[in-house]
Amino acid sequence: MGLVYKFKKEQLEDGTFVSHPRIPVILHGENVSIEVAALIDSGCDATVIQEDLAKAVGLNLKGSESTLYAFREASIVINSKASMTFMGRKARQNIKVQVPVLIVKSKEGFSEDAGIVLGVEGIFDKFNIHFKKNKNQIVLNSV
Amino acid sequence: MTYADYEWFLKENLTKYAGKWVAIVDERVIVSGKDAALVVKEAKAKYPTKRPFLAKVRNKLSIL
Repeated sequence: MGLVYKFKKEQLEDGTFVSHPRIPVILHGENVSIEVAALIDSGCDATVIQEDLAKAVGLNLKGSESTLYAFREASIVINSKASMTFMGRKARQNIKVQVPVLIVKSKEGFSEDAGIVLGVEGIFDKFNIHFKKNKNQIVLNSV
Repeated sequence: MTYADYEWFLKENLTKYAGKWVAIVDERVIVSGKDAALVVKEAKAKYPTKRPFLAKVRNKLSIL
């Protein structure tokens, strides 16, 4: 069956609601492990983590820099990697993976309001991901 | 965290925390703020034996 999650309905500034595929992952760092709501984004090439969150867990910020482009913006990012656990309803369902990540400065990045975005590289090759909005389900099956 | 904190996050309208990080323990927000590191530090100080569930509250229509 795999890991099954629901969409998070969030209210916008104008009072309308949108649904986001946000799932619980444990982000493991040198300092601490933190459970965090991560946004799945099939349009994002890589997994992107805000700098303040990366610092909170103790990810390596000394990697090489590159530029991340989005719609009409470009951001400088640090290449790093992270271990994360995809949480199941029961602990025995948890799946731990290691993925390349891009760490973006909180004030500059396009993902400023997302915290952590799970992009294609390193995630979509480890899971088959099905978005079923009409059933309010996101299903991840380990490959 | 228990999985219940994630499920509580899904159901709860957290609009009043828009743009901020929230730390959730036992199905309630215990700390909020703009900086994830400070939120985690404060949450750990309040509940040293628990692992908080962290989420950034969004309220802007966006393309990533």
